[in-house]
Amino acid sequence: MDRKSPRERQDEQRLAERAAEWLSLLRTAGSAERAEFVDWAMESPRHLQEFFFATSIAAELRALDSSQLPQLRTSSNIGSANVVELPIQPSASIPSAPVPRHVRSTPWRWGLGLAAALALSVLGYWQFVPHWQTYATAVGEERAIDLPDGSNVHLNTRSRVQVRLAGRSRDIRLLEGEAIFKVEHDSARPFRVYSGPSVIQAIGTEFNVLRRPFGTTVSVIDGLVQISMEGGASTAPPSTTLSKGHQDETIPPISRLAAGEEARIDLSGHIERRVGNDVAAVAPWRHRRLNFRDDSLADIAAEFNRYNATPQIAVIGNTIRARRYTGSFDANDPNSLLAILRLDEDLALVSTGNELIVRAR
Amino acid sequence: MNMTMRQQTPSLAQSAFENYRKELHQFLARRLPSPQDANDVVQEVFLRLLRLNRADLVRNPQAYLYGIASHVVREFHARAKRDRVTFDSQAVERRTDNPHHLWPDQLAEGLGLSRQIAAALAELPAMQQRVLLAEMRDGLSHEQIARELGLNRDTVRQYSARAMAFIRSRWNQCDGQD
Repeated sequence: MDRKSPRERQDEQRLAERAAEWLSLLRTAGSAERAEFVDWAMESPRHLQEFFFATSIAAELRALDSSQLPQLRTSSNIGSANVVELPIQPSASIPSAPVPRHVRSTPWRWGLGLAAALALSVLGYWQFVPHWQTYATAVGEERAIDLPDGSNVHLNTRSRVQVRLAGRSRDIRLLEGEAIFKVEHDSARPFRVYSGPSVIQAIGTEFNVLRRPFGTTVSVIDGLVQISMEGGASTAPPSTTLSKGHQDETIPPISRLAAGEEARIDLSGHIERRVGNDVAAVAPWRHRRLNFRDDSLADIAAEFNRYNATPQIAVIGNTIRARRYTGSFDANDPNSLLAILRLDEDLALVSTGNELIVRAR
Repeated sequence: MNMTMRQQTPSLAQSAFENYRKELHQFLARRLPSPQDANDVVQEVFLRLLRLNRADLVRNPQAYLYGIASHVVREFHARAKRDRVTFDSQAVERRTDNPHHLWPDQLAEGLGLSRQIAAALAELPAMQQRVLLAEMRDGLSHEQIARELGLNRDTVRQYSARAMAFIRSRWNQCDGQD
């Protein structure tokens, strides 16, 4: 099966090693080394091919699941005697931020025990002395927070919430911005979101709350929520005030919303309801996909700019602006677009501070 | 709707690029063993590389290499019309995050490959194994690995390269061709 001469095999081996070395080196390479690599890669397609081989192997290794490697766990067939056995299994991953490891002494175990005890007591504190915990996002940032009760808060860009999980209630203050709440059902502990004077109480559900200077918009994705005003009445007939659009004579102190329904609540407690929304269309920001079908580059750039503070993409020149693309992108990731544009030999991308200019080359 | 995953991701831009790269790697991993396909792809990438501005290339060689390669691969696949770019990062994510969405033959190939690699890995001397996994899977630098395993850096570099070349050689043998 093997038709290669020893010489050929040796060359192959050397080339494969070289490619692997480049792959390692590129992670930290300075410009001189990168230039060397480019020279090497452009020397021959074989070099390039070997480099691609190395990257593919590396990618496979990165994706390796330890459970797929039973052979490794038991491999005690170490040939050389000068190999020092570490107390880690070969298949156990080495922590990515390595801490000094004292191989032969054990005092760190004490430290670990202490840390565990501390963590436990913090946990205890968390459960018995409820306090407000603040979470916030910056412009362009989005964040999902898993709460200890199993609920999840997904914060949109530039938003701030405070969370307090107590024994009898779960309270959230939406101080700024917008968030989707996915609530773990627990009838003993009502889940309430306070946005200005309005209170939104969940009944095992998922809903979006947008706080604005003069009011709050609540959209229900799944389940049911109940809206009231802080200090307001606790019961009122539901569904009698259902109306389409904006005319709303009766101002209920409290109201229920079901999936697909949306309510705008102003500061005085006036609730304006909209019904019949398509659930999939509720809170479109949660999908964060931008889909283009033969759309102009100008439109695509504008769309990306709505979602990202930086870079702001400017497309210059009518021909370039009119170029059409089809694709589906993560709205938060202008780089996925830019990576594609960079490949276009007719385009030049110039970065100036926060702006990225796309123009004809 | 993978919120917890999102939270762990250091940067979405970074991860999208990674995904984009993953797709390319998967493709190459399937194509490279076939000399004809591999040559077509690599030749084309090579030719385009030669046309690029060298200064750009030096600034971020890997990004350009992967970028060009995935472009070539895409054309190779879809024979897409010029000037029309089709790219779906979500499809890429789905395919890489959730192997159940893979097409059966792709899945089989993927499994075959990782099994091959796992088998080759198991044949390596223990220290080379560790160095390789620490670097490629756990993302440690040579310096960190050297410290971690009590080796000097040159040894780490050597082990890493040798281990990679060994896996590479196994790959060839399995096809019985080159």
